[in-house]
Amino acid sequence: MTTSAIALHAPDPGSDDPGLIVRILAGDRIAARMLYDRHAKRVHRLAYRICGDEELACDLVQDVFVRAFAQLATFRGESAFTTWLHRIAVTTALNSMRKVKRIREREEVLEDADAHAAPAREADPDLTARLHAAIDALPDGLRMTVLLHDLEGYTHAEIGTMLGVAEGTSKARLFEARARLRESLQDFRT
Amino acid sequence: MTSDDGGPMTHDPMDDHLHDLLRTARESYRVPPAADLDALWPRIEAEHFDTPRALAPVVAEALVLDATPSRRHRRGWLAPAAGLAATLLIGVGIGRFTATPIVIAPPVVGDLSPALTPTAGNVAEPLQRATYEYVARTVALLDSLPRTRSARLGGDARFVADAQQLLSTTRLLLDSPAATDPKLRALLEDLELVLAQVASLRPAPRADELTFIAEAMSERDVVPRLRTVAATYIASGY
Repeated sequence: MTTSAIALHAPDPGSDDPGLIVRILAGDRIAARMLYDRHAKRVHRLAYRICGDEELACDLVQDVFVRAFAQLATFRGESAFTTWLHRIAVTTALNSMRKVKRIREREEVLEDADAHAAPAREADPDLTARLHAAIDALPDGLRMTVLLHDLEGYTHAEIGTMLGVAEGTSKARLFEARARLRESLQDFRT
Repeated sequence: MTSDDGGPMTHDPMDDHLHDLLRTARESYRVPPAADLDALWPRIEAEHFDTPRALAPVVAEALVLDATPSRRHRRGWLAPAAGLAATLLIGVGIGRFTATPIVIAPPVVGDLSPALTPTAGNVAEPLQRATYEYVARTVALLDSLPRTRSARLGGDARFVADAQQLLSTTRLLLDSPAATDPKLRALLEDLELVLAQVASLRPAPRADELTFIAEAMSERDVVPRLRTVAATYIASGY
């Protein structure tokens, strides 16, 4: 590897999340854009998974980053920046959904699925749709726990931080959510 | 599925099947369509960087200085200036009450002295936070100072107004427990000189006016010193 190649691959001490945060707090727009580029895609995915609406998800991405930058001085590094940012995303998305009271699109799918006879579960696309609908039908607290734990891969400790509940509450919610999902999928059992 | 994974161990084949289904759902549940995330950035940038904000909103809220919803969302320069001034005054007051007797930390050669760090026990938390936000805003202002005659000061009086506000803040801090640290005090005194020059700039400053300010900043090394202070606060969790 040449010297220039090494230089190109050398990590910039100011380009990790903490370094970018310092720069943003000092008014650096480029650093803000770098932090946005690094995290926007996952925030968008999380927002879309929570709300299920493309336009609203984009609005949420904007709201989340506006709020995050405004609150950046309060980030104390006690958790990963991603966890802190996603907590804002979850809170913003849930508040937004409560405000707009959008009808969950998957509820219609659930009604449709109920109208059909239960087919064999193997490789049945209806089973996936049924699961999605069952997740959508869960109360917010349970749905968020399943979404964050089973689909996004967060630990119960992280979920507790994001949702503002105890770690044990997150575990209990996941247990309850899975029980309800099992019940919803009962007629797919062989 | 394990017991610490949200459910008890059972031998129900449905559990395994549900586990498999949920694993599949990671890739199938509400997969977002491709979004033009670049197109979302301008509004975020404008709201954060181009909208006047309170200098110490967090502290102001913590102190219930501005708690009503209508006031919290008010934008403009009067509210931030009043909020900051009130925050600092309360911070100074709290600091004086809680800092008796004030312990002046011994200077540390080549490093920030302990009193300058946010964990210093002789400066109250609200004042620490206000100081930190002041430092961040001052760095931003000095970074955006035009270096050439052709550059205008943003086309409005906001730049100068911001400098005047920061100058007032500097003087408040100089009279606060935060200034018990000799290095921070020296930095504040240098900033007072620089900000006084910036605050007196006209919308279309002469080249020599900008040169004087640039020289003053360079001679006193104010921006690197400010960045060092900001980094110290960040490292301490601010």
